[in-house]
Amino acid sequence: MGLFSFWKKKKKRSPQRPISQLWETLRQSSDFVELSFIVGGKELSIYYFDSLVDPQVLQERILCHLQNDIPKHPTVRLEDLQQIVPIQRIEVSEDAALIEEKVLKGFVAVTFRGQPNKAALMSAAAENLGLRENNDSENEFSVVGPKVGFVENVGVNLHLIRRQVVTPNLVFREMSIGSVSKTKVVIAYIDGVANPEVVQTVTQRLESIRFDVVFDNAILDQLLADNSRTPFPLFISTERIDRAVYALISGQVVVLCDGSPYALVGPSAIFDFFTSPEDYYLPWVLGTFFRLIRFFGVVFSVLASPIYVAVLTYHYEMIPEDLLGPIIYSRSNVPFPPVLEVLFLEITIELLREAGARLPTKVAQTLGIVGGIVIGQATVDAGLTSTILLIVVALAALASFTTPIFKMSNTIRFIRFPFILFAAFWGGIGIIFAVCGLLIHLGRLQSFGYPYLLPFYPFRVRSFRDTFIRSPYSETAERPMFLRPRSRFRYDPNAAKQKRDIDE
Amino acid sequence: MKQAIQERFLISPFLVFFVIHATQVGVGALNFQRPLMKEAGQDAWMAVLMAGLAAHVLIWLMYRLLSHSPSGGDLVSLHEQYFGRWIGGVLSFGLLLYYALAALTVLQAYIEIIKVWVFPLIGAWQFSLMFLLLTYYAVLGGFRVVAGLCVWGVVIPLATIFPMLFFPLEYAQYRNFLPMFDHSFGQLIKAAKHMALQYLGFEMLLMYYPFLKQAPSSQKWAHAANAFTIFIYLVVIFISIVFYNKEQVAHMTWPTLTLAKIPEVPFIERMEYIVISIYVLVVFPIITVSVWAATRVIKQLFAVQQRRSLPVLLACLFVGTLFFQEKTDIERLTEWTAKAGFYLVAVYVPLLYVYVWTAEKVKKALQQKP
Repeated sequence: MGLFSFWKKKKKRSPQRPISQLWETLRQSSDFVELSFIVGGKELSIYYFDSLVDPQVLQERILCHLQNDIPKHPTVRLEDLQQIVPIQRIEVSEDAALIEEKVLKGFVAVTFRGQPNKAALMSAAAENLGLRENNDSENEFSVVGPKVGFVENVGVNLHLIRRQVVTPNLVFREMSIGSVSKTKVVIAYIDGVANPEVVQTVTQRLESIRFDVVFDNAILDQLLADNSRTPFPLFISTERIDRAVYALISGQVVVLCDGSPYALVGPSAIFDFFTSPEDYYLPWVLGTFFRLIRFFGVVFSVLASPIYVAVLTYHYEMIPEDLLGPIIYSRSNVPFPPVLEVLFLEITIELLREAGARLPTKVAQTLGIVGGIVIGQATVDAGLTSTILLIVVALAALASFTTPIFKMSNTIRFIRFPFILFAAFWGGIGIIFAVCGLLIHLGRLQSFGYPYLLPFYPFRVRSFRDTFIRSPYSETAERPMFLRPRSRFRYDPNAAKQKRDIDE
Repeated sequence: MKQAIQERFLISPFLVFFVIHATQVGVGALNFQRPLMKEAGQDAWMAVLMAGLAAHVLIWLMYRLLSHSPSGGDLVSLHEQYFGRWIGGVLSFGLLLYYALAALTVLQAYIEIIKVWVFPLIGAWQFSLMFLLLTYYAVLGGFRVVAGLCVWGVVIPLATIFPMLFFPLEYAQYRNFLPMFDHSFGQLIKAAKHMALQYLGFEMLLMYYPFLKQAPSSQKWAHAANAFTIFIYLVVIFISIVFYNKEQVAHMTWPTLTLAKIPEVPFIERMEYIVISIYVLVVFPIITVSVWAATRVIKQLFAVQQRRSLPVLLACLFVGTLFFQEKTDIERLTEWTAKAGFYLVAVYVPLLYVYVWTAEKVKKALQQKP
């Protein structure tokens, strides 16, 4: 906040500040360059940050033309530079604050001796310098389908989106967020499809953000969230272009942020987090099957180890006779109550995951093998856990990784700890207590003002075509109506549904 | 005090189906067979049907009554309009006491089951505390969240508990139905009166009526909910009649739970533990809806914020649960609530309707005279 107020004050004061004072401030930095020379009787100065401009553009487009062409036009003014210098959108300004901002973004400022209070601003920014050129979307991998992902440069990302959404209705709205970083943030939506209320909500929330440096979209995600006290992600963040484009055509709003290879998609409902673009690339029967497996995985991952705790601590009557033998055999050496046993293993797996994520890839692989196989085998041999639990916990961990959105899979891994504790206190009833608490919590969540549990609650039957089941494309012409889109159909539903008689 | 409720807090008319059904089916579904079959024996299913049809009539009556309420309001504003601030206030206070009593009864009855079947040694207060904390969290979210919980409270048990009921049919004796029509009408009426508590729950409608979008159009959903409740009870009583004989049921406190012991699958036994656990989801909506309704009455009556009255009410309920530890006490409590609910729904609401109806007529006649 303190940093911000400083910025605000400065901005108010700056119109009175002469430009010369600005150069004085900037000169403190060693990468600030000031060139003065006389061409054709005109004395001109050029100011820029060495570290921000592309030297090739500076030399070939700006310096070369200034030095060669100004002598031919002796009466040239700053406003006429656009005729000489082959750079798009040259701006002339007297506003020191604007000049400062532009120069700090890689613009070159040109001033004439005769017009001391004005500067012409030409873009020579080295946009891609030090940034990734491509992204193979390895964090949201799919076997079928395009592999191109978003990169850190927002300009490239906009280009990638516009290449697929070829319609004049695709609107990009730009704004700058962050008192220090002045990050370029772009709201993308399709006019006439997205609900204007949503667009307005997103714009308002973004405008009211007060922050210093926006490192990543994930920060915007948290600042935009309707409820900050929830472990659940309220917006999808994706690095896949197909996913972002799909969101746009179904009427959602995409927020892109310079410096982040992730796009933010909202309003999102809980089901969106469990769908993968690959579902749409496979035949619908397979897509549905894999989707159902994923849902089963989530439920299994959350409930497996709590049920183990509940049954072995309180409800051992529930184990059938045939199953009792193996369980007794594997647990007879374990000195702990089931809940400690489960917590021990769950935490081991969390440690492995966290260590694997922090280490370089090659080391992480070794660690996975050492941790997974050696520790697992050794704990069972040492009698710290039972083999059955090892299987349950490993399967539950595996199942939690099937969720395509990383944030959601983290949440699922987190929420099972309260479940385990509830199961340890009150057995099966405790598990259902936790389920109740979870359902209430989910019922209270909203994403950009839309209920999070849509289309389950409020119940929308039509929208179920694309939740548990990935219906064939002949059925999915309608946009999900719970987003209240402005236009109802994605493509002509009747053409897709045309049926022919046998042998016709 | 009485402004129209904003649209974003309203629920769609069809959700009434879930709210009414969730509040009707409660702990009673586990143990209603014994008193019923004591009176009506193998003809108990007729009593179930009769009580259900009576509930249909009462729901119809309630909708008629509430449509007379000023600007689609609830019973409290109706009381105030027709009885004035003081008498109306006293009547509304009775309603508040009833709602609190209903929540307490359901909570107690369920905790009793936990104590008998699952955790004889763990202090009951832990469960009531957990329930009330969760209720606090749910009611804080407003009526939309409460109604959402009702949806889950219908869908999840329907998908998990309901199929389990059919396993005992393997051992069914269909001859148990005979002789049919063996009981007098008086006996059936008596049995149907026992059934009243099982159908209670729709009286919460008196408070959440203004929270329904296009409230009058929701009536068909309310009737559908009641019809579905009849269906569920009929299934349970049919299976109980064909599975048990009359003498067996007389010795059982929770016949439905014993039914749940029958299913067998290779990896799990004693399904009644699952039934009892999932029953949290059946019981919980009733508690939240009645607590919500009670705080709503307080808000309308005393202009106290629901946010403020909720913790106080929950604390009272918690203290209340500490007093009813013995089984006989809990049975007496259930009896009281059944009686209070019966008189509220079957006696008070019709009388009120007649009063409101005549009052309207008189008013119209007076207006036309001059």
